[in-house]
Amino acid sequence: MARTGFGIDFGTTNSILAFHKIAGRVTTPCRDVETGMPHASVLWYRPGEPTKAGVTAKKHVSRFSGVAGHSFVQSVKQHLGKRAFFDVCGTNKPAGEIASDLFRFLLNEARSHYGVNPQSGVVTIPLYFDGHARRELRRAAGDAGFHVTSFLHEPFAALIGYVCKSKSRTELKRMAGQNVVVFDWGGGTLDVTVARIEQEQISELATAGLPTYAGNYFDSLLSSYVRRLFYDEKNIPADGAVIPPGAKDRFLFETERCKIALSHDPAYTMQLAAFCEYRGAEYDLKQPVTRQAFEQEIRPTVDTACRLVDNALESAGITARQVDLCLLVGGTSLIPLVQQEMRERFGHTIVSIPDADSIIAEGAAIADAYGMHAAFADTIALELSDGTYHPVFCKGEVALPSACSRTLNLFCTDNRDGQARLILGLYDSKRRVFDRKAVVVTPVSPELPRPYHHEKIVLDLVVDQDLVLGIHAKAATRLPEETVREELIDIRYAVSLAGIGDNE
Amino acid sequence: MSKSSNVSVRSNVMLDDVDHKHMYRFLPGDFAAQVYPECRDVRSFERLLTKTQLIEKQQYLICMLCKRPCAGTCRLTQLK
Repeated sequence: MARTGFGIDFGTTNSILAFHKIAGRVTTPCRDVETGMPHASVLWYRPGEPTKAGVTAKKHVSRFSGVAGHSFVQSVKQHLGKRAFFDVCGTNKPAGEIASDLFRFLLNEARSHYGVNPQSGVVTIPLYFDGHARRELRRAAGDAGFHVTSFLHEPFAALIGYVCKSKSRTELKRMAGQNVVVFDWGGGTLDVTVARIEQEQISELATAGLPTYAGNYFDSLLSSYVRRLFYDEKNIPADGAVIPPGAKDRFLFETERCKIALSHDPAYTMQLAAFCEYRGAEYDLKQPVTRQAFEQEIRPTVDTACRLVDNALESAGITARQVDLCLLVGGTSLIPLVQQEMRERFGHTIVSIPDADSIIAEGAAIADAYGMHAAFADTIALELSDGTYHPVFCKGEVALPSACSRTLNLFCTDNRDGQARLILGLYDSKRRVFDRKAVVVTPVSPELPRPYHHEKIVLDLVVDQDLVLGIHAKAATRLPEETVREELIDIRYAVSLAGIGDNE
Repeated sequence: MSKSSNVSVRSNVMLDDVDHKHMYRFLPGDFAAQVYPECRDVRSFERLLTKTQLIEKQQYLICMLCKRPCAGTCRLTQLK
Protein backbone atom coordinates (compact mmCIF):
# COMPACT_ATOMS: atom_id res chain seq x y z
CA MET A 1 0.00 0.00 0.00
CA ALA A 2 1.39 3.40 -0.96
CA ARG A 3 2.29 5.57 1.98
CA THR A 4 0.28 8.59 3.07
CA GLY A 5 2.13 11.25 4.99
CA PHE A 6 0.54 13.72 7.40
CA GLY A 7 1.68 17.19 8.34
CA ILE A 8 0.28 19.72 10.76
CA ASP A 9 0.87 23.45 10.73
CA PHE A 10 -0.03 24.38 14.30
CA GLY A 11 -0.37 28.12 13.94
CA THR A 12 -0.99 31.04 16.27
CA THR A 13 -3.95 32.33 14.26
CA ASN A 14 -4.84 29.42 12.00
CA SER A 15 -3.99 25.71 12.01
CA ILE A 16 -4.31 23.11 9.32
CA LEU A 17 -3.59 19.43 8.71
CA ALA A 18 -2.61 18.15 5.27
CA PHE A 19 -1.91 14.72 3.85
CA HIS A 20 0.17 13.59 0.89
CA LYS A 21 -0.35 10.36 -1.02
CA ILE A 22 2.77 9.18 -2.80
CA ALA A 23 0.65 7.25 -5.29
CA GLY A 24 -0.57 9.96 -7.62
CA ARG A 25 1.52 12.54 -5.76
CA VAL A 26 -1.51 14.34 -4.40
CA THR A 27 -1.40 16.72 -1.45
CA THR A 28 -4.69 17.60 0.23
CA PRO A 29 -5.06 20.28 2.90
CA CYS A 30 -7.96 19.55 5.28
CA ARG A 31 -9.64 22.95 5.20
CA ASP A 32 -12.80 24.01 6.94
CA VAL A 33 -15.53 22.53 4.73
CA GLU A 34 -17.85 25.52 5.11
CA THR A 35 -15.45 28.35 4.40
CA GLY A 36 -12.65 26.58 2.52
CA MET A 37 -10.19 28.33 4.83
CA PRO A 38 -7.71 26.91 7.37
CA HIS A 39 -9.16 26.36 10.86
CA ALA A 40 -8.98 29.31 13.22
CA SER A 41 -6.83 28.46 16.28
CA VAL A 42 -9.67 29.46 18.61
CA LEU A 43 -11.30 27.19 21.19
CA TRP A 44 -14.70 27.66 22.78
CA TYR A 45 -15.38 26.02 26.12
CA ARG A 46 -18.76 25.61 27.88
CA PRO A 47 -19.30 23.48 30.97
CA GLY A 48 -20.97 20.16 30.12
CA GLU A 49 -20.77 20.83 26.38
CA PRO A 50 -18.25 19.45 23.89
CA THR A 51 -15.39 21.83 23.10
CA LYS A 52 -15.79 23.69 19.82
CA ALA A 53 -12.89 25.00 17.80
CA GLY A 54 -12.03 26.62 14.50
CA VAL A 55 -14.35 28.86 12.54
CA THR A 56 -17.39 27.94 14.68
CA ALA A 57 -15.60 29.08 17.83
CA LYS A 58 -14.31 32.24 16.19
CA LYS A 59 -17.79 33.14 14.88
CA HIS A 60 -19.23 32.99 18.38
CA VAL A 61 -16.61 35.13 20.10
CA SER A 62 -18.50 38.34 19.37
CA ARG A 63 -21.74 36.90 20.82
CA PHE A 64 -20.56 35.02 23.87
CA SER A 65 -17.23 36.47 24.91
CA GLY A 66 -17.53 37.74 28.48
CA VAL A 67 -20.82 35.90 28.98
CA ALA A 68 -20.79 33.69 32.08
CA GLY A 69 -20.26 30.00 31.24
CA HIS A 70 -18.39 30.70 28.00
CA SER A 71 -14.61 30.77 27.67
CA PHE A 72 -12.60 31.41 24.53
CA VAL A 73 -8.89 30.73 24.11
CA GLN A 74 -6.82 31.85 21.15
CA SER A 75 -3.09 32.03 20.25
CA VAL A 76 -2.30 29.13 22.59
CA LYS A 77 0.86 28.39 20.61
CA GLN A 78 2.55 31.51 21.97
CA HIS A 79 2.13 30.18 25.51
CA LEU A 80 3.58 26.71 25.01
CA GLY A 81 6.66 25.87 27.04
CA LYS A 82 6.05 28.76 29.44
CA ARG A 83 4.02 26.88 32.05
CA ALA A 84 1.03 29.05 31.14
CA PHE A 85 -2.50 28.43 32.36
CA PHE A 86 -5.82 29.72 31.04
CA ASP A 87 -8.98 30.39 32.98
CA VAL A 88 -11.46 28.04 31.33
CA CYS A 89 -14.93 28.26 32.88
CA GLY A 90 -13.50 28.85 36.33
CA THR A 91 -10.75 26.23 36.22
CA ASN A 92 -7.08 26.64 35.40
CA LYS A 93 -6.25 24.71 32.26
CA PRO A 94 -2.61 24.35 31.14
CA ALA A 95 -1.68 25.60 27.66
CA GLY A 96 -0.62 22.06 26.72
CA GLU A 97 -4.13 20.70 27.32
CA ILE A 98 -5.67 23.45 25.24
CA ALA A 99 -3.19 22.72 22.44
CA SER A 100 -4.20 19.08 22.75
CA ASP A 101 -7.87 20.03 22.26
CA LEU A 102 -6.94 21.90 19.09
CA PHE A 103 -4.96 18.89 17.80
CA ARG A 104 -7.97 16.67 18.57
CA PHE A 105 -10.22 19.01 16.59
CA LEU A 106 -7.88 19.00 13.57
CA LEU A 107 -7.66 15.19 13.62
CA ASN A 108 -11.43 14.79 13.92
CA GLU A 109 -12.06 17.20 11.05
CA ALA A 110 -9.66 15.22 8.85
CA ARG A 111 -11.34 11.93 9.83
CA SER A 112 -14.91 13.06 9.37
CA HIS A 113 -14.59 15.16 6.21
CA TYR A 114 -11.57 13.79 4.37
CA GLY A 115 -11.73 10.06 5.10
CA VAL A 116 -8.20 9.75 6.45
CA ASN A 117 -7.01 8.53 9.82
CA PRO A 118 -3.91 10.50 10.85
CA GLN A 119 -1.98 8.83 13.65
CA SER A 120 1.52 10.14 13.13
CA GLY A 121 3.30 12.75 11.08
CA VAL A 122 5.44 15.87 10.95
CA VAL A 123 4.52 18.99 12.91
CA THR A 124 5.99 22.36 12.03
CA ILE A 125 7.48 24.78 14.54
CA PRO A 126 8.69 28.38 14.44
CA LEU A 127 12.42 29.00 14.72
CA TYR A 128 12.23 30.40 18.25
CA PHE A 129 10.52 27.32 19.77
CA ASP A 130 12.82 26.10 22.54
CA GLY A 131 13.09 22.62 24.02
CA HIS A 132 10.27 23.23 26.54
CA ALA A 133 7.86 24.43 23.87
CA ARG A 134 8.74 21.54 21.56
CA ARG A 135 8.25 18.99 24.32
CA GLU A 136 4.90 20.47 25.35
CA LEU A 137 3.74 20.52 21.72
CA ARG A 138 4.80 16.87 21.26
CA ARG A 139 2.97 15.91 24.45
CA ALA A 140 -0.14 17.81 23.38
CA ALA A 141 -0.18 16.04 20.01
CA GLY A 142 0.44 12.69 21.72
CA ASP A 143 -2.46 13.24 24.13
CA ALA A 144 -4.70 13.82 21.13
CA GLY A 145 -3.51 10.53 19.59
CA PHE A 146 -1.02 11.92 17.08
CA HIS A 147 2.60 10.81 17.26
CA VAL A 148 5.05 13.48 16.10
CA THR A 149 7.63 11.69 13.96
CA SER A 150 9.66 14.84 13.51
CA PHE A 151 9.54 18.61 13.76
CA LEU A 152 10.33 20.87 10.84
CA HIS A 153 10.94 24.63 10.77
CA GLU A 154 7.88 26.36 9.32
CA PRO A 155 9.56 28.32 6.49
CA PHE A 156 11.59 25.24 5.56
CA ALA A 157 8.38 23.20 5.37
CA ALA A 158 6.87 25.87 3.11
CA LEU A 159 9.85 25.57 0.79
CA ILE A 160 9.61 21.76 0.73
CA GLY A 161 5.91 22.13 -0.03
CA TYR A 162 6.54 24.56 -2.87
CA VAL A 163 9.40 22.59 -4.41
CA CYS A 164 8.12 19.05 -3.97
CA LYS A 165 4.38 19.46 -4.42
CA SER A 166 4.18 19.69 -8.15
CA LYS A 167 7.64 19.97 -9.63
CA SER A 168 8.75 17.14 -11.91
CA ARG A 169 12.09 15.42 -11.57
CA THR A 170 13.47 17.46 -14.50
CA GLU A 171 12.21 20.73 -13.01
CA LEU A 172 13.77 19.83 -9.67
CA LYS A 173 17.11 19.17 -11.38
CA ARG A 174 16.83 22.51 -13.14
CA MET A 175 16.29 24.25 -9.82
CA ALA A 176 19.59 22.96 -8.43
CA GLY A 177 21.88 25.76 -7.33
CA GLN A 178 19.07 28.24 -6.69
CA ASN A 179 19.07 30.41 -3.58
CA VAL A 180 15.70 30.86 -1.94
CA VAL A 181 14.38 33.26 0.67
CA VAL A 182 11.28 32.23 2.60
CA PHE A 183 9.66 35.10 4.44
CA ASP A 184 7.07 33.62 6.77
CA TRP A 185 5.23 36.33 8.68
CA GLY A 186 2.19 34.94 10.43
CA GLY A 187 0.12 35.85 13.46
CA GLY A 188 2.69 34.99 16.10
CA THR A 189 6.18 35.19 14.60
CA LEU A 190 8.29 36.27 11.69
CA ASP A 191 10.62 33.55 10.47
CA VAL A 192 13.11 34.12 7.67
CA THR A 193 15.02 31.30 6.08
CA VAL A 194 17.63 31.52 3.37
CA ALA A 195 18.05 28.14 1.72
CA ARG A 196 19.75 26.55 -1.25
CA ILE A 197 18.31 23.90 -3.52
CA GLU A 198 20.98 21.41 -4.47
CA GLN A 199 20.98 18.32 -6.71
CA GLU A 200 19.45 15.99 -4.17
CA GLN A 201 18.76 18.15 -1.18
CA ILE A 202 17.52 21.45 0.23
CA SER A 203 19.69 23.08 2.91
CA GLU A 204 19.06 25.98 5.24
CA LEU A 205 21.86 28.55 4.81
CA ALA A 206 20.68 31.02 7.43
CA THR A 207 17.69 31.51 9.65
CA ALA A 208 16.43 34.52 11.57
CA GLY A 209 13.35 34.99 13.67
CA LEU A 210 11.40 37.74 15.32
CA PRO A 211 9.05 36.35 17.94
CA THR A 212 6.11 38.51 19.14
CA TYR A 213 6.36 41.15 16.39
CA ALA A 214 3.84 39.63 14.04
CA GLY A 215 0.16 39.78 13.14
CA ASN A 216 -1.05 39.82 16.74
CA TYR A 217 1.30 42.69 17.52
CA PHE A 218 -0.07 44.63 14.53
CA ASP A 219 -3.56 44.01 15.90
CA SER A 220 -2.55 45.54 19.22
CA LEU A 221 -0.93 48.54 17.45
CA LEU A 222 -4.08 49.07 15.42
CA SER A 223 -6.36 48.68 18.41
CA SER A 224 -4.44 51.26 20.46
CA TYR A 225 -4.46 53.62 17.48
CA VAL A 226 -8.24 53.27 17.08
CA ARG A 227 -8.82 53.69 20.82
CA ARG A 228 -6.69 56.82 20.80
CA LEU A 229 -8.68 58.30 17.89
CA PHE A 230 -11.99 57.37 19.44
CA TYR A 231 -11.21 58.83 22.86
CA ASP A 232 -9.91 62.05 21.31
CA GLU A 233 -13.02 62.41 19.20
CA LYS A 234 -15.41 61.80 22.09
CA ASN A 235 -13.33 63.79 24.58
CA ILE A 236 -13.08 60.81 26.91
CA PRO A 237 -9.96 60.51 29.07
CA ALA A 238 -8.24 57.19 28.22
CA ASP A 239 -8.00 56.17 31.86
CA GLY A 240 -11.65 56.99 32.55
CA ALA A 241 -13.29 54.78 29.92
CA VAL A 242 -14.18 51.21 30.76
CA ILE A 243 -14.26 48.55 28.07
CA PRO A 244 -16.43 45.64 29.29
CA PRO A 245 -14.68 42.21 29.16
CA GLY A 246 -16.93 40.93 26.37
CA ALA A 247 -16.30 44.03 24.26
CA LYS A 248 -12.53 43.54 24.59
CA ASP A 249 -12.61 40.25 22.65
CA ARG A 250 -15.11 41.61 20.12
CA PHE A 251 -12.90 44.66 19.65
CA LEU A 252 -9.85 42.45 19.05
CA PHE A 253 -11.67 40.44 16.40
CA GLU A 254 -12.98 43.60 14.74
CA THR A 255 -9.41 44.94 14.74
CA GLU A 256 -8.19 41.78 13.00
CA ARG A 257 -10.99 42.10 10.44
CA CYS A 258 -10.01 45.73 9.84
CA LYS A 259 -6.34 44.77 9.37
CA ILE A 260 -7.27 42.10 6.80
CA ALA A 261 -9.65 44.48 4.99
CA LEU A 262 -6.94 47.15 4.74
CA SER A 263 -4.81 44.72 2.73
CA HIS A 264 -7.19 45.12 -0.21
CA ASP A 265 -9.17 48.30 0.57
CA PRO A 266 -7.74 51.78 1.17
CA ALA A 267 -10.06 52.36 4.16
CA TYR A 268 -12.29 50.46 6.56
CA THR A 269 -14.77 51.59 9.21
CA MET A 270 -14.59 49.69 12.48
CA GLN A 271 -18.01 49.32 14.09
CA LEU A 272 -18.84 47.89 17.46
CA ALA A 273 -21.96 48.28 19.59
CA ALA A 274 -21.55 49.00 23.31
CA PHE A 275 -17.80 49.46 22.94
CA CYS A 276 -17.13 51.35 26.16
CA GLU A 277 -18.72 53.04 29.14
CA TYR A 278 -17.89 56.44 30.59
CA ARG A 279 -19.74 58.16 33.45
CA GLY A 280 -22.72 55.84 33.08
CA ALA A 281 -23.09 56.41 29.33
CA GLU A 282 -22.52 53.65 26.78
CA TYR A 283 -20.63 54.43 23.58
CA ASP A 284 -20.71 52.63 20.22
CA LEU A 285 -17.59 52.53 18.09
CA LYS A 286 -17.71 53.80 14.54
CA GLN A 287 -14.21 54.69 13.52
CA PRO A 288 -12.88 54.95 9.95
CA VAL A 289 -9.27 53.78 9.55
CA THR A 290 -7.18 54.35 6.45
CA ARG A 291 -4.47 52.06 5.13
CA GLN A 292 -2.05 54.98 5.19
CA ALA A 293 -2.58 55.51 8.93
CA PHE A 294 -2.23 51.79 9.62
CA GLU A 295 1.00 51.61 7.63
CA GLN A 296 2.36 54.56 9.56
CA GLU A 297 1.75 52.64 12.80
CA ILE A 298 3.46 49.45 11.62
CA ARG A 299 6.32 51.10 9.70
CA PRO A 300 9.01 50.69 12.44
CA THR A 301 8.22 46.96 12.79
CA VAL A 302 8.28 46.45 9.02
CA ASP A 303 11.68 48.18 8.92
CA THR A 304 12.94 45.83 11.65
CA ALA A 305 11.68 42.86 9.61
CA CYS A 306 13.52 44.13 6.53
CA ARG A 307 16.74 44.46 8.54
CA LEU A 308 16.24 40.89 9.70
CA VAL A 309 16.04 39.74 6.07
CA ASP A 310 19.21 41.68 5.24
CA ASN A 311 21.01 40.11 8.23
CA ALA A 312 19.89 36.62 7.19
CA LEU A 313 21.21 37.21 3.67
CA GLU A 314 24.49 38.50 5.07
CA SER A 315 24.98 35.52 7.33
CA ALA A 316 24.18 33.21 4.39
CA GLY A 317 26.93 34.96 2.46
CA ILE A 318 24.71 36.06 -0.44
CA THR A 319 23.18 39.31 -1.63
CA ALA A 320 19.57 40.04 -2.60
CA ARG A 321 20.65 39.93 -6.26
CA GLN A 322 21.77 36.33 -5.86
CA VAL A 323 18.32 35.24 -4.70
CA ASP A 324 16.52 33.24 -7.39
CA LEU A 325 13.25 32.66 -5.61
CA CYS A 326 11.38 34.41 -2.82
CA LEU A 327 8.35 32.92 -1.12
CA LEU A 328 6.05 35.09 0.96
CA VAL A 329 4.09 32.99 3.42
CA GLY A 330 1.71 33.87 6.25
CA GLY A 331 -1.11 36.37 6.59
CA THR A 332 1.08 39.32 7.60
CA SER A 333 3.03 38.98 4.32
CA LEU A 334 -0.16 40.04 2.53
CA ILE A 335 0.02 43.57 3.96
CA PRO A 336 0.71 45.88 0.99
CA LEU A 337 3.56 47.70 2.78
CA VAL A 338 5.33 44.38 3.46
CA GLN A 339 4.83 43.25 -0.13
CA GLN A 340 6.18 46.55 -1.41
CA GLU A 341 9.32 46.30 0.75
CA MET A 342 9.93 42.73 -0.38
CA ARG A 343 9.37 43.67 -4.04
CA GLU A 344 11.98 46.41 -3.69
CA ARG A 345 14.46 43.79 -2.48
CA PHE A 346 13.64 40.74 -4.54
CA GLY A 347 11.62 42.07 -7.51
CA HIS A 348 10.44 39.44 -9.96
CA THR A 349 11.85 36.54 -7.93
CA ILE A 350 8.79 36.71 -5.66
CA VAL A 351 6.43 33.96 -6.73
CA SER A 352 2.77 33.70 -5.88
CA ILE A 353 2.08 30.43 -4.14
CA PRO A 354 -1.22 28.72 -4.81
CA ASP A 355 -2.67 27.63 -1.44
CA ALA A 356 -0.22 29.85 0.46
CA ASP A 357 -2.26 29.38 3.65
CA SER A 358 -1.71 25.62 3.65
CA ILE A 359 1.72 25.29 2.04
CA ILE A 360 3.49 24.75 5.40
CA ALA A 361 1.26 21.81 6.35
CA GLU A 362 1.57 20.42 2.83
CA GLY A 363 5.37 20.56 3.03
CA ALA A 364 5.26 18.76 6.37
CA ALA A 365 2.99 16.07 4.89
CA ILE A 366 5.39 15.57 1.97
CA ALA A 367 8.34 15.33 4.37
CA ASP A 368 6.45 12.66 6.32
CA ALA A 369 5.36 10.72 3.24
CA TYR A 370 8.90 10.45 1.89
CA GLY A 371 10.43 9.89 5.31
CA MET A 372 12.69 12.94 4.98
CA HIS A 373 14.99 13.01 7.97
CA ALA A 374 16.56 16.27 8.98
CA ALA A 375 20.33 16.25 8.53
CA PHE A 376 22.78 18.86 9.76
CA ALA A 377 23.26 21.59 7.15
CA ASP A 378 26.50 22.69 8.85
CA THR A 379 29.25 21.10 10.82
CA ILE A 380 28.71 21.59 14.54
CA ALA A 381 32.09 22.20 16.11
CA LEU A 382 33.71 22.91 19.47
CA GLU A 383 36.13 25.82 19.65
CA LEU A 384 39.43 24.84 21.25
CA SER A 385 41.83 27.00 23.22
CA ASP A 386 44.37 27.12 20.36
CA GLY A 387 41.77 28.73 18.08
CA THR A 388 41.03 25.58 16.08
CA TYR A 389 37.64 23.87 15.78
CA HIS A 390 36.92 20.26 16.54
CA PRO A 391 33.99 18.88 14.47
CA VAL A 392 31.44 17.13 16.65
CA PHE A 393 28.63 16.47 14.17
CA CYS A 394 29.46 16.65 10.49
CA LYS A 395 27.53 18.36 7.73
CA GLY A 396 25.10 15.93 6.12
CA GLU A 397 24.92 13.66 9.16
CA VAL A 398 21.30 12.64 9.79
CA ALA A 399 20.07 14.09 13.08
CA LEU A 400 18.47 10.92 14.38
CA PRO A 401 18.31 10.70 18.18
CA SER A 402 19.63 7.14 18.14
CA ALA A 403 22.72 8.09 16.12
CA CYS A 404 23.52 11.57 17.32
CA SER A 405 25.36 11.45 20.59
CA ARG A 406 28.99 12.22 21.28
CA THR A 407 31.15 12.26 24.38
CA LEU A 408 34.29 14.39 24.44
CA ASN A 409 36.99 14.23 27.08
CA LEU A 410 38.54 17.62 27.58
CA PHE A 411 40.94 19.37 29.89
CA CYS A 412 40.85 22.97 31.01
CA THR A 413 43.86 24.97 29.85
CA ASP A 414 43.44 27.70 32.45
CA ASN A 415 41.42 27.04 35.58
CA ARG A 416 42.54 30.13 37.54
CA ASP A 417 39.12 31.79 37.21
CA GLY A 418 37.31 28.60 38.25
CA GLN A 419 35.51 28.09 34.97
CA ALA A 420 35.89 26.16 31.76
CA ARG A 421 34.36 27.82 28.72
CA LEU A 422 32.95 25.44 26.13
CA ILE A 423 32.07 27.25 22.92
CA LEU A 424 29.94 25.47 20.35
CA GLY A 425 28.95 26.76 16.96
CA LEU A 426 28.43 26.09 13.30
CA TYR A 427 31.64 25.83 11.30
CA ASP A 428 31.79 26.50 7.59
CA SER A 429 35.12 25.02 6.49
CA LYS A 430 34.83 26.51 2.96
CA ARG A 431 34.38 30.08 4.14
CA ARG A 432 36.37 29.40 7.33
CA VAL A 433 33.61 30.99 9.36
CA PHE A 434 32.68 29.90 12.86
CA ASP A 435 29.23 31.04 13.92
CA ARG A 436 29.11 30.88 17.72
CA LYS A 437 25.86 29.48 19.05
CA ALA A 438 26.45 28.56 22.68
CA VAL A 439 28.96 29.41 25.39
CA VAL A 440 28.66 26.88 28.19
CA VAL A 441 30.45 27.88 31.37
CA THR A 442 31.30 24.89 33.53
CA PRO A 443 32.61 25.36 37.08
CA VAL A 444 36.02 23.82 37.74
CA SER A 445 38.32 23.96 40.73
CA PRO A 446 40.42 27.15 40.73
CA GLU A 447 43.14 25.51 42.81
CA LEU A 448 46.63 24.93 41.45
CA PRO A 449 47.88 21.68 43.02
CA ARG A 450 51.58 20.80 43.02
CA PRO A 451 52.51 18.87 40.97
CA TYR A 452 49.97 20.44 38.68
CA HIS A 453 47.31 18.30 37.03
CA HIS A 454 44.68 19.59 34.65
CA GLU A 455 41.00 19.80 35.43
CA LYS A 456 39.28 17.19 33.26
CA ILE A 457 35.84 17.84 31.77
CA VAL A 458 33.43 15.40 30.20
CA LEU A 459 31.18 16.91 27.54
CA ASP A 460 28.13 14.97 26.34
CA LEU A 461 26.25 16.14 23.27
CA VAL A 462 22.95 14.50 22.38
CA VAL A 463 20.39 15.38 19.71
CA ASP A 464 16.94 14.38 20.92
CA GLN A 465 13.76 13.54 19.00
CA ASP A 466 12.74 17.22 19.12
CA LEU A 467 15.90 18.22 17.23
CA VAL A 468 17.26 19.95 20.29
CA LEU A 469 20.98 19.56 20.93
CA GLY A 470 21.44 18.81 24.63
CA ILE A 471 24.80 19.95 26.04
CA HIS A 472 25.85 18.37 29.33
CA ALA A 473 29.23 19.28 30.80
CA LYS A 474 30.83 18.32 34.09
CA ALA A 475 34.28 18.68 35.59
CA ALA A 476 35.69 15.40 36.85
CA THR A 477 36.18 16.83 40.34
CA ARG A 478 32.57 17.98 40.64
CA LEU A 479 29.49 16.09 41.82
CA PRO A 480 27.00 14.74 39.24
CA GLU A 481 24.37 17.27 40.38
CA GLU A 482 26.76 20.04 39.37
CA THR A 483 26.49 19.03 35.71
CA VAL A 484 25.77 22.05 33.55
CA ARG A 485 22.88 21.40 31.16
CA GLU A 486 22.07 23.63 28.25
CA GLU A 487 20.15 23.32 25.01
CA LEU A 488 20.93 24.50 21.53
CA ILE A 489 17.99 24.94 19.18
CA ASP A 490 19.47 27.32 16.65
CA ILE A 491 20.70 24.62 14.28
CA ARG A 492 20.20 24.60 10.53
CA TYR A 493 18.98 21.51 8.76
CA ALA A 494 18.91 19.94 5.32
CA VAL A 495 16.61 17.32 3.83
CA SER A 496 17.14 14.90 1.00
CA LEU A 497 15.00 15.14 -2.13
CA ALA A 498 15.79 11.58 -3.22
CA GLY A 499 12.69 9.82 -4.46
CA ILE A 500 10.66 12.98 -5.16
CA GLY A 501 9.04 12.82 -8.59
CA ASP A 502 10.55 9.40 -9.36
CA ASN A 503 7.25 7.85 -10.35
CA GLU A 504 6.57 10.30 -13.21
CA MET B 1 29.70 38.26 20.85
CA SER B 2 28.44 41.66 19.75
CA LYS B 3 29.59 42.76 16.32
CA SER B 4 30.35 46.23 17.59
CA SER B 5 33.08 44.84 19.85
CA ASN B 6 36.30 43.01 19.06
CA VAL B 7 36.42 41.54 22.54
CA SER B 8 35.06 38.03 22.85
CA VAL B 9 35.17 35.12 25.23
CA ARG B 10 37.85 32.60 24.31
CA SER B 11 37.67 28.90 24.79
CA ASN B 12 39.91 27.44 27.49
CA VAL B 13 39.45 23.74 26.80
CA MET B 14 41.42 21.27 24.76
CA LEU B 15 40.83 17.67 23.75
CA ASP B 16 42.28 15.21 26.21
CA ASP B 17 43.65 12.59 23.82
CA VAL B 18 46.95 11.21 22.59
CA ASP B 19 47.25 13.87 19.89
CA HIS B 20 47.34 16.54 22.56
CA LYS B 21 49.67 14.93 25.09
CA HIS B 22 51.97 17.98 25.40
CA MET B 23 49.35 19.71 27.47
CA TYR B 24 51.53 22.67 28.48
CA ARG B 25 51.56 23.89 24.85
CA PHE B 26 47.88 24.75 25.07
CA LEU B 27 48.09 26.80 28.26
CA PRO B 28 48.43 30.60 28.30
CA GLY B 29 52.19 31.33 28.44
CA ASP B 30 52.15 33.01 31.86
CA PHE B 31 50.09 30.17 33.33
CA ALA B 32 52.33 27.49 31.81
CA ALA B 33 55.32 29.18 33.47
CA GLN B 34 53.44 29.26 36.75
CA VAL B 35 52.49 25.57 36.92
CA TYR B 36 55.21 23.82 34.91
CA PRO B 37 58.64 24.49 36.47
CA GLU B 38 60.43 23.56 33.22
CA CYS B 39 58.54 26.35 31.42
CA ARG B 40 60.03 28.82 33.90
CA ASP B 41 63.58 27.63 33.38
CA VAL B 42 65.50 30.16 31.29
CA ARG B 43 67.48 27.33 29.70
CA SER B 44 64.45 25.59 28.27
CA PHE B 45 61.37 27.78 28.13
CA GLU B 46 62.08 29.32 24.73
CA ARG B 47 62.26 25.83 23.26
CA LEU B 48 59.22 24.48 25.08
CA LEU B 49 56.75 27.31 24.65
CA THR B 50 55.05 28.38 21.43
CA LYS B 51 55.48 31.84 19.96
CA THR B 52 52.13 33.01 21.35
CA GLN B 53 52.94 31.57 24.76
CA LEU B 54 56.24 33.46 24.84
CA ILE B 55 54.42 36.73 24.15
CA GLU B 56 51.83 35.91 26.81
CA LYS B 57 54.58 35.07 29.32
CA GLN B 58 56.39 38.33 28.66
CA GLN B 59 53.23 40.33 29.42
CA TYR B 60 53.59 39.35 33.08
CA LEU B 61 57.35 39.70 33.58
CA ILE B 62 58.31 42.41 36.05
CA CYS B 63 60.05 45.24 34.22
CA MET B 64 63.56 45.94 35.55
CA LEU B 65 63.04 49.67 35.10
CA CYS B 66 59.53 50.40 36.33
CA LYS B 67 59.17 47.32 38.56
CA ARG B 68 55.74 46.54 37.13
CA PRO B 69 54.53 43.95 34.58
CA CYS B 70 54.42 46.66 31.91
CA ALA B 71 55.13 44.42 28.90
CA GLY B 72 57.63 46.98 27.63
CA THR B 73 55.17 49.83 27.53
CA CYS B 74 56.53 51.98 30.37
CA ARG B 75 58.08 55.36 29.78
CA LEU B 76 61.45 54.27 31.10
CA THR B 77 61.67 51.41 28.59
CA GLN B 78 60.73 53.84 25.77
CA LEU B 79 63.50 56.23 26.82
CA LYS B 80 66.04 53.44 26.94
